[in-house]
Amino acid sequence: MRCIKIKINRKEFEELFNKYKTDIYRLAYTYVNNQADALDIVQETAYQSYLSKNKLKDKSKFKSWILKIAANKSKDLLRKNKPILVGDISILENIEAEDKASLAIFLDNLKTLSLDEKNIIVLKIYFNYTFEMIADELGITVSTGKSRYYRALEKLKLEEESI
Amino acid sequence: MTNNLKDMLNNIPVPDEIDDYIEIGLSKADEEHRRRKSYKPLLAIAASLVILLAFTGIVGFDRVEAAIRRALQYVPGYNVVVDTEEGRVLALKDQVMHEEGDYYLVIKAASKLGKNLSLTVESNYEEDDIYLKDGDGNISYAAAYSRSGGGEFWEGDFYFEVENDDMKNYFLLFKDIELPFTLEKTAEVEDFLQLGNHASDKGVNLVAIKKQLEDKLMISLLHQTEDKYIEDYPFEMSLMFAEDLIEEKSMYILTKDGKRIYPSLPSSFGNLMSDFYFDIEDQEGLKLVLPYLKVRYYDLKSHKIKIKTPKDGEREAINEVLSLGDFSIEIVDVRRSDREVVVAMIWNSPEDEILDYVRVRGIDGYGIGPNEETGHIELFLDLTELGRNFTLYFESPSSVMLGDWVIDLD
Repeated sequence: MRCIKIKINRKEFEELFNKYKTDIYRLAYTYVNNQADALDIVQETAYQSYLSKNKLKDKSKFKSWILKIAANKSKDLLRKNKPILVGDISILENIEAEDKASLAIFLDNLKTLSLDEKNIIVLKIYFNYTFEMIADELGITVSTGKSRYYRALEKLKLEEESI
Repeated sequence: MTNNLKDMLNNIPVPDEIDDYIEIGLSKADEEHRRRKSYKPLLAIAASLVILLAFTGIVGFDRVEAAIRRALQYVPGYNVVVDTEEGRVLALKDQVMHEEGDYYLVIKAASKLGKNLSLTVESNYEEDDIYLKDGDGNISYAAAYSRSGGGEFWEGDFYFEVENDDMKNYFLLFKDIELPFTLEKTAEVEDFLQLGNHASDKGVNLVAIKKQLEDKLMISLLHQTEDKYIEDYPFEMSLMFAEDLIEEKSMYILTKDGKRIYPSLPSSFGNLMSDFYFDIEDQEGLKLVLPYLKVRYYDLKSHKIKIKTPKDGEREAINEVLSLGDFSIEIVDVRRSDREVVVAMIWNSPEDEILDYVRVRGIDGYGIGPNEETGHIELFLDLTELGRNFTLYFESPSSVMLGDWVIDLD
């Protein structure tokens, strides 16, 4: 292994972090299903990643590195706390009426997913993993990964996409 | 609105306060950086206590470490090696330290065999990459490293491939620091047991080397074994579930008049050597007694068991035994209370060994602890992690191997 020396100062780090902040928040929200916890996870991810920024050996891996931290923080929080099942109506305030209804249903359905299903969605959507990579990461078969993914889509009442 | 998952997730509204939360996270990290840098180097020994328990950041380390360990039984600080058939061995002449205000960086050990050079470095600077420059100005990157963080300090082993076999003068490059160090030829011994007083039991040879420091006696331990992986020397903090099952939880020095002196602190760690400090002056008739060694069996793995997740308030008997080499784990039952699922186990060990810890696999997160009422060891799982059924298996057990290693320190 060859270590590439990179140094990131606070300004550069903030720029990189801000580039992916919406992904981090939405990933966290996918797991915890409420705004307050998702924001806490963003904060914890900023703290943890900045503290260990020197462990990042390749800037091009910043996105996957930071999302991995956020995913771990989300799962940690789920382990510690019981899931909050009350919806955040306030987060839909600025959404147009037509979209508000379908998004509200989607967010409600998101809460019904198991952790296994959320893990697959996060890897598929945020990390752009293939089913083979997901199977490898989670130690499951490709067909299990696919069936969990499609079950999740069913729960979310979404159509199967071309994947 | 779209019916596509990616688009739906991208529609989750992101609140404006997100920037405040990021700022708080980064400021907290800045504060932590400042706090870490404010500690005095004299606390380094205490920090290694934590280091022992927090081994992280292994990058390509095992292969290189194994190769060097095979070639060298090198004793840092004494500069002796065993088995020099592999070639000429150079080692650090003197420890070197760089200090700057409250920060320090120290090269604790270095050894070189042919074109392989290894460095052990301790510091309270913020972690950063380490490079090596030789006397001719050639700069090398670490081919592999293992860095452990504990509290405000870190310690790391760094392996470099260098250009010149005979070069003795080098510089460690870290941030803007250039720290010079010199290697010298090591003394050689033919046999491991010549390194110091020793004892043998259960196929493990142990050598103890003592050194009187200002107010403490330092004992450096080395071991040699054909087929076992020694995880830890006896020290109370390294015990998990065996702690309550063994009377003597730590090594100790036995004085001539029968007094037992226990180590106050372990210092370095790793398999080449570990140092332990005792609050006693060197004197005649001292013996070092090690009542056990912690052994880890990396290759052992149980078969899998599929368990049905019980309904709230229910308990299901299981009574299935999973074997792990000579150890076995009996799954007694599984019960559920609200979202907590608890698996009760009995751990069985062969004679002269006590299972201390085992790695639980098949599930993402778990808690583990003894139940004082039943005597079972219980695994706590969150319902969120489980489906209707879940799978469990165990691997890589660590055990306390009871034995009788008494080393005469005269």
